[in-house]
Amino acid sequence: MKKLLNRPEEAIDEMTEGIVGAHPEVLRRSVQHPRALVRAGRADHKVAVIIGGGSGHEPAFLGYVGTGLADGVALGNFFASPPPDPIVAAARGTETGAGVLLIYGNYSGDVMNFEMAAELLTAEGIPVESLVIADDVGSAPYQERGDRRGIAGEVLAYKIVGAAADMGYALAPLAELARQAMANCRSIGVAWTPCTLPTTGVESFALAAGEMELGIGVHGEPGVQRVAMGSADQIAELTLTTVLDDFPIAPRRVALLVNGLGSTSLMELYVYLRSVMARLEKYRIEVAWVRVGEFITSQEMGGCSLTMLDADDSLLNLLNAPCHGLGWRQGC
Amino acid sequence: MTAQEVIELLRFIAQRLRDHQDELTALDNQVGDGDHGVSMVQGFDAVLVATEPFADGTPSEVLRTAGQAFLNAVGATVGPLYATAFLRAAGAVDGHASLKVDDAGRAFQGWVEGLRARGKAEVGEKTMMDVWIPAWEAFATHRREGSRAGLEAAVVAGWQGFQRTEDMPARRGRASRLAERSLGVGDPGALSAYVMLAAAADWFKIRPGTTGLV
Repeated sequence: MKKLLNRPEEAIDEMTEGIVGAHPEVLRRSVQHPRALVRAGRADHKVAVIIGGGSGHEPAFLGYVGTGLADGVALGNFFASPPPDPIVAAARGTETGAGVLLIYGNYSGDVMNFEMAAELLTAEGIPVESLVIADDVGSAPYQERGDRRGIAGEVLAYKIVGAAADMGYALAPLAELARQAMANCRSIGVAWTPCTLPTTGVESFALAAGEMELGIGVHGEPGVQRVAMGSADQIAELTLTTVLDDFPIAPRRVALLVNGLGSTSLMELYVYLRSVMARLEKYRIEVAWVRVGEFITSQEMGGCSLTMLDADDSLLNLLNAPCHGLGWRQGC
Repeated sequence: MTAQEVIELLRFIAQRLRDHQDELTALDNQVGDGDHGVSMVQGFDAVLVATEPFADGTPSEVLRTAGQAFLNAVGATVGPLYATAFLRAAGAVDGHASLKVDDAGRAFQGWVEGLRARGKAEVGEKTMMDVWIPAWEAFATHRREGSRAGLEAAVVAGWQGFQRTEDMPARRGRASRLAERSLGVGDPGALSAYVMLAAAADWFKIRPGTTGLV
C-alpha cells in the first residue's frame, strides 16, 4: 500500500488538524469533542443541521459544513459511523433554540449511533428530527426502498437542507421538505478498481480484467452484480436506465450529480456526463442543474456514481443558493 | 470473579481478537467494507485503557466503563451493539463486589439480551446473533452439569452457529445488500463473536481458580 500518510491510525486526526488549520474561516473543531467540527460563524436563530459518517470519503462529510450547508459534522473512523458523543457535541455546539436536524445515510451503524445521539439530545430538551438518506437503487429493489443505503444523494440533501435552514425554515417543515425532495432522488454507482483502507492495507475487492461492479457502495463493499466493463456510452446507458426505471413516473426536469469515487479523472466524468445528457435529451427530460466532481469518495476507488433528483423550481433555487464549504462553494 | 479478573478476561479476549484480525478483515472484505477486524481490535484496546483504573472496583464498574469506551472508540455497527451488551451485563451484576457462578451467568444473559435489544436481529439473519443466541441457550441448558460443561456446550453451539451463517443469505447490515451473493461466506460479525466466546471459555479453563467460580 502506497499512501501519503504517517501512522494510518493517526490519519483522521491529522487530516482534521490540516483542514481546520487551512480553513479557519469555514470550520473549526468543537471544544467539546475532537471528532466534531462546526461552522466558523455562529448563526443567530436557525435549525442546526448536523451531518456525519465514516472518514475516508473526503470531501464528505466535513466538506459540507459551512454557510448554506450543514452546521456541524461528526467524524467516524475509516468507513465507520461516528459514535453518539461527537454527534451530540456537534449539535450542542451549534444549536440555537430552533432544534436539530440530523442527516445520515441508511447504514445499520449510522442508524444506531445517530438514534442514540437523538435520544441523548431529546433528553436534554432539544427538539430533534432525523433524515435518513436511502438513494442507492443498486442496494435494494423499489418495493424495499426503505432498506436502501445512502450514497451521493446525501450531498444534495446537505445542500438543499442547508440552504433552506439558512433561509429560516422551522424544524418540522424543513424535515418535511427534505423528505419529499429525497423521495424523488435516485443514485447508482459503478466501480472498476478497488480502494484500500489505510488501516488494513487490503484491497476492498478483486475484479477480473474487463469486469466492473454495478451497484457499488461508497465503502468499496461489493455491488449487486458483476458485469463486463463497458465504454463510457455503455456505462451511461446502463446506469441511466437503472436510475430512470426506478422512478414510478419519469421526471420531466432533473438535477444531476456525477460523482467520482476517488481515482476517476474529470475527463472521464465529463465524457460520461455528455453521454448521460445526450440520452436524457433523447427522452425529452430537461437537465436543469448539473454538477460534476468528487463529492463523496471511497479513497482511491476507480468508478463513479450518477444521482438524479426530480427537481421543481423551489428545489432548484435551494441548489443554486450560495454556500461555502470545503466540498462545495458557490456564489459567496 | 473480581474486577481485576474481569479485566484479565477482557485482556485475554482482546489478544485473541488481535490474533484473528486479518481473518476478520478478509471475511469482511468479501461481504462488507473490510473494517470489522480493525473495529473490534480498536474497541478492545480502548476498553483495556479505560478499565485499568477500576481493578480495585466492582465487576459492574469495569463492564460499564468497558461499554462506554468501546462505543466511543468504535462507533460503527458493533459500537452500539457491544456497548449495550456491556451495559446490560453490568446492570445484571450491579452491587456485587465479586461474581459467583450464577452472577457470571446473569452477566452473560444480560450481554446477549443487550445485543438482541439493540440490534433486533434473530437467529438466521447472518449476524453475530447466530453465534450468541445458540451459545447462550446451550450454556443455559448445560450449566446444571457444571459451568465448565455449560461453557463447552456454548462454544460448540457458537461454532455451529458461525458455520451456519455460511449457508445464509444476509438479511441485515451492510452484507444484506449482497443477498444471495453472500452465500458461502461466513458472517464476520459472527466470527468475531465466536472468537470472543471461545477466548472467554479458554480463559475460564486456564484460570480454574478464578475467585468464586468453580
